[in-house]
Amino acid sequence: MKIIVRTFSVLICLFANLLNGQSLGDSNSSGLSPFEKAELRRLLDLDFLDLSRTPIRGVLGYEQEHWKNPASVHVIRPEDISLNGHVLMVDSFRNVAGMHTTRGVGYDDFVTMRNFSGSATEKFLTMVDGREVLQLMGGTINWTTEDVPLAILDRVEIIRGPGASIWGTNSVSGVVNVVTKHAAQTQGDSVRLIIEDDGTFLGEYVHGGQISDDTFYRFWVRDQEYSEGKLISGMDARDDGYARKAGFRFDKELNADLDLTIAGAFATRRVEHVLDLTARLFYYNAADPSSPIPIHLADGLSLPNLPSPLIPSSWQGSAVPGQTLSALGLPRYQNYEEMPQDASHLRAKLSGITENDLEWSLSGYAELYDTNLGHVGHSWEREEFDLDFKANRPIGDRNHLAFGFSLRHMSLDVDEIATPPWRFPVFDPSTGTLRSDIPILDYGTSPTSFDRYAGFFQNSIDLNDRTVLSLGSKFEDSDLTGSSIQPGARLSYALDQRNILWGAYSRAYRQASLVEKFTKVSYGRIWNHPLLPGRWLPMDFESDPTLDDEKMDAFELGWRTRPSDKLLIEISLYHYSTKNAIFSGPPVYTTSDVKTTGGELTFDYRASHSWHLQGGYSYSKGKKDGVKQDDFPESMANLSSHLNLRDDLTFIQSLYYTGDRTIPSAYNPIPIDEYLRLDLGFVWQAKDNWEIGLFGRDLLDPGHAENMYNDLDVEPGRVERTFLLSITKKF
Amino acid sequence: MLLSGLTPIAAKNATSDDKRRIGRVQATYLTHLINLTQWNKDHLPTPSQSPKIVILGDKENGFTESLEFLLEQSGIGIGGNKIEILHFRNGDKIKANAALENKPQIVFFLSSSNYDPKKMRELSKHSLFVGNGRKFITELKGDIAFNYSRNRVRLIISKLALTRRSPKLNSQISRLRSVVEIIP
Repeated sequence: MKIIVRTFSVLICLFANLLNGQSLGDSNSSGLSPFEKAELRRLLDLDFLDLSRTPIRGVLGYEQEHWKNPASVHVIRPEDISLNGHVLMVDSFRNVAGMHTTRGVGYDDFVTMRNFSGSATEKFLTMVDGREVLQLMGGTINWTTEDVPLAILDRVEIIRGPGASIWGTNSVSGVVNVVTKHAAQTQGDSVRLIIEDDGTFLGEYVHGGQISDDTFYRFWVRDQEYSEGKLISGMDARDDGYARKAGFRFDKELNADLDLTIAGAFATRRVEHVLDLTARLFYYNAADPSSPIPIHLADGLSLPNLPSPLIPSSWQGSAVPGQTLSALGLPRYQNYEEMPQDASHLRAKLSGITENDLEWSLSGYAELYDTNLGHVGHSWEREEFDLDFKANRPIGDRNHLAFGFSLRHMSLDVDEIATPPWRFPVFDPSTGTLRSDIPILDYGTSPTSFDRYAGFFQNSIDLNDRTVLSLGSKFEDSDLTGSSIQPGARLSYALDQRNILWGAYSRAYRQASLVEKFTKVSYGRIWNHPLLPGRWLPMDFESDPTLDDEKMDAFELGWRTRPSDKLLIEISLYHYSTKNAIFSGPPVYTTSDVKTTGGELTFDYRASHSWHLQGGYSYSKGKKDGVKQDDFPESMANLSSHLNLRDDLTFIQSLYYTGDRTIPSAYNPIPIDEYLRLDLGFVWQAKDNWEIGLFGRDLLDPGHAENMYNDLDVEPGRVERTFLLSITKKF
Repeated sequence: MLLSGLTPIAAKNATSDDKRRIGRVQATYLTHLINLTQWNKDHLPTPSQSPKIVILGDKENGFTESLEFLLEQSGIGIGGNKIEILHFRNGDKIKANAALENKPQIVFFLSSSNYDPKKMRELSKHSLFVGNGRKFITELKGDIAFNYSRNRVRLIISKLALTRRSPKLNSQISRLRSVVEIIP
């Protein structure tokens, strides 16, 4: 913390001195501060509907783009996605400092934030139109399933740092808030087609119409077809498949200050996934029972009483001839199975403003998700119902109170099977019988029905013209985690018309996933165990229903400066101290104390009418139980330049740097070298609402590794140089 | 005060930050409205003169500066020409009257204005009159009014401004019934 405070103080002094001289002069000449001018530019892009919905007095935590907001916020607009040659929303997170966005195989996207999440698990809260989309079973997000067509996307607000006092549990390292457009703003038809040189395809069609003066609708469909890529070794990745989705939205103004929205979507995805079987058959190590010996290694050492055959016949079909893994040269075994997912949701929202300025919304959500992780033989159907009420109103001249409550009911129907390689006789000590049907994940008789009740309040207080203080807390009681209080305090101070300082303290919680908490994991088989030397025995570990929530104390400091309306610079520093942090991956789910320190420097510079530069740098350092973590890159940077060659032609250059790290594993840790990605592209905004983009991505590097599910995947997918053609037409 | 109706009640409780934001939102609305308004050739200045927006009332919320900035940024003009903004405080009545006699294209009454829109209308019948509050339309014969209530700024438009020949608001505005209130 001391380092952060010192660094921050020095930077503040330097930059404040540097900028102070010119600040007053400019502001006096126009009467508008640079922040006000920047807001005017943004307002100019709004249509009448958006203008009529622009709140005059904003509420901290609601209106993310206000310059006094005491939080580190990045907002992604649809054009940030299309102009940078990104296909999905998740790709655009590469332009957000502090976010580590990576690809596994073609359909796998991983996002972690601010060096606190291990390799794959997302420890931040993601909401799409107010609906939480974090999958509690594994603590992950399926970014393809939750994506929406670009034409209906209004914005993605990314709030770095915990926002628990409003957002609640799981908003640990940040919040991603996706907001779609009102149906009135997507009238007519639009088509977006993207074709990559490897055959990957995305098609989106949106149709919007008007039923009456105050009633609008839209429906949309999208299809994403994945072509097969390669693994980093050059082997086929078997990642071809498809993700298809359809949705609708209906908006009606019931009266001048009462709106109704009903929306829903259905998504279906069909892909295959692999389970690495290379290091799952072991030989009992009498010298060190906690370090069993892989069976092939035992064979190489000619240890006594080896099984015959060495590998069960059901297992032999999963061998990959000629391929070895890990430093021990173990023969490679892997099992591919179907991993289908069908997901649907329906939501309804009533919102309004009363005569005494109480702005409120009441939302209801219903979800049905059917997920089958065929490679681990684990499937579940999840039904979920949510009710959410939020409101805010000014109290006098200086206070603005926000409050709300929510209810959730979730129920699961979980099913497990033993996948084909595992169907060989194993002695189960718990039943005293030989079994061939022990699943990898066994949810057993663990609870399948969960309720959650939550409430929050927050008061934003204008202490004076320069200082805004926000105090609040969230209260939760759930079957999963018991009761918790998650307080937060945020303060924003305007040094002058160009400089805002802010600071925050938050306590945030993250629930252990259902797998971590309730699922017995049978991750291997062991031979020659003293319990029954002539038989295979299961190697497993029990889940831990007593796992506490991860509890984080987060301290943040920020400085936001606008030397002119064309340049915005932001620095955010943070220190997180987390108790009971859970890091997934065999052999056990352990809890650790984790300390994470870091910061981001970002800028947005409109150098001229024809040149726009944006970029950021992030640094972070984490220690788990006092040991330095290496699963998150210490340094990352991004730089994007949009140069208008003509009024209708933009040349885009994007650079992304990611530092080196290691994908953790119990037996097969994979070092990922630093990589530099260069994307170049042209976007031609032709007549009659045609937009055509041509991009080359990863131009410096024909292929590199980024990520994989540790200890599930065998090796990372190969992220290859690609060329992409995008065509958008509105009519 | 004769024209206290120009100031919506809610705006009186607004903080200085709120008032400046109201000014920015109003200026943005007006910038869009210029694009949606048609003037007959007779109601436009000669090619050698700039079209004009006259703003009346004491400065209070950065509206004038916001409008200047938005017009410069957007390049929006009237009849293809750059717009000149003239601002007259409440004490500048003689100069303001003279400016209106030159037939400006738009006259905007700040909420602090004590100018009488009815009298000003007699000086410039073919200007688009924009002001604040419902009464500006219903009692003071204005064309467009901004109404700040329930933490939002919304538009109220006289039907006459949609139906007369000049200055005439584009009928596409009348289709935005969910955001614009049209008063017959």
